[in-house]
Order: sequence, then structure tokens, then C-alpha cells
Amino acid sequence: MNSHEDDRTPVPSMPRWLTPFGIAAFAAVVLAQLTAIATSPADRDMGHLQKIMYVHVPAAWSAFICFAVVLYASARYLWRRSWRDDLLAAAAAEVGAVFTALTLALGSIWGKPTWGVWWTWDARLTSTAVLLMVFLGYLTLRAVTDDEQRRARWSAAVGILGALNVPIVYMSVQWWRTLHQLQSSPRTLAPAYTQGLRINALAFLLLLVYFVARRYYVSRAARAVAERAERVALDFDPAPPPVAAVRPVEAPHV
Amino acid sequence: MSDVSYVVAAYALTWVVILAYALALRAQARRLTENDS
Repeated sequence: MNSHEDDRTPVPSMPRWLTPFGIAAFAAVVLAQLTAIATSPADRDMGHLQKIMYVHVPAAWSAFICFAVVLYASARYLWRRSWRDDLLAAAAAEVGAVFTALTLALGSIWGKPTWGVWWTWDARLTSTAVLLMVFLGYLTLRAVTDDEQRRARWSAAVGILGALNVPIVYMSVQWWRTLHQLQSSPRTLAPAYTQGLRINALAFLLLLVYFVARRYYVSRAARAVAERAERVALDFDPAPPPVAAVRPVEAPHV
Repeated sequence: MSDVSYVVAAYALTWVVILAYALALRAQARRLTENDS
């Protein structure tokens, strides 16, 4: 195959299952939210504000899962040096940053009526904000580093360090008993709320799989386009003169 | 603001964020396809 045939190689397309899977994921989120809102009673202390849990907690868990994927793919990249692992880590980091920002914003909306403030320097809020900053830094690092190998190596290191913050965020409510309540999970909730939380967590899990897969395949396609453009540019580069054709400069006779 | 307003705001924000992100990914994919053709 010559280079001109290479140039016509199509950019890798999205897998066929992705769009129907995405539609199913969005439908699952709608159904899960409607079911949880319709079936859970108003909480004794918080009233209807408790229903914010069905979006706030699944968003936080989704972010944690994304950062676990970052940890796995980054370590695997450092081990095997495959660009696929690098792109998977980057996709999961971006989706994780979106879910972390959403978690913080939803927590803020929940905090105002329950705590009386939109924001406070509570251990859970602060550690989550630090986690978001680390992954925004990760994405910035990727955006400003041109060399592919260096970008992958550096971002794998930052990704691993960033993902190691997740246990700190998770345990912060136990290590520093400040304002945020203890972790919400089916084990710590009244039975009336567990089903709603479970189905919403599952729906968010589907959504994150869709987002990460879509982001990954977009990055693969972008990489293929960039590679092809580079090949075309190299084809049009004028050939350097052959070394033998360059005549040495003779030293003047004195 | 009533409690229900905060709940509505939280769900509305969730949908704005996830739909905006889904549309951004779709637009990126479309741009790549257009550049390819």
C-alpha cells in the first residue's frame, strides 16, 4: 500500500451500538428519576429536599468510577505505552470532571436550604473541589502539550496522583467530622429511599459508560485525522538535497 | 424559595449539564466527519 492510498483511509467511525446505547442510557435516567420522585416519601427532616440525593449522589459515584478508570488506564499506559490507554484515561478524566462539577453544583443547591449557605469550607466540599482542580489541571496539561508521548506520560502521572485523592474525598466525612453528613448508601438509608438511589445510580452508570465511550471514539477519530494530516504534510515536504551533492568548501591556498 | 424550587433547580441543572455535554460530543464527532469528507 502506498502513502496516497493511506491518505484515503477513512477515519474510524463510532461503533454501531453506541447511539442506541446512549438513547437507552438517557431513557434510563428519565425513568429512574420519575420512579424515585414518585415513590419516595418526603423526609422527616429535609422534606422534599431529600430528592436531590437521587442526582447528587449518583453524580458523585459516577465521578469516582471515572477516576478509577483514569487510574487503571494511566497505570496501564505507563506499563504498556499504548496510545489507546492514554485516550481512555483522558476520556474518563474529562467525563469525571463533568460529573465532579455537577456534584459540587448540586451539593451547593442542596446546601443552601439545609445549611443556609451555598458554600462552606467543609472537608468533603473542599476535598471535592481539590479533586476537580486536579483534573482540570490534567485536561489543561493535555491541551497545552504538543508532543504525544510526553503528553501521555505526564498526564498518566497526574491522573494517577489525582485518582489517589478519591479515597480521601470519600473518607473525608469520617476523618474530619465537619458539616457534610456521612456517606449516603443503601446501607445507611431508610428502606423507602434505597430503591430510588440504586436505580438512579445504575442509570448514571449507563450514562457514564456512554459518555466515556463516545469521548474515547471521538479522540481516536481526531488522532487518526491528525496522523493523516501529518502524513500528507510529509509527502509534500521538499526532499533535502542528497549529501553527496553538497560539495565541501575547499580551504584557500595560502 | 420553597424546597420544591431547589429540587426543580437541581434536576434542571442535571439535565442541562448532561445534555450540553452529549451535544458537545456529538458536535465534535460531526466536525471530524465533515473534515474527513
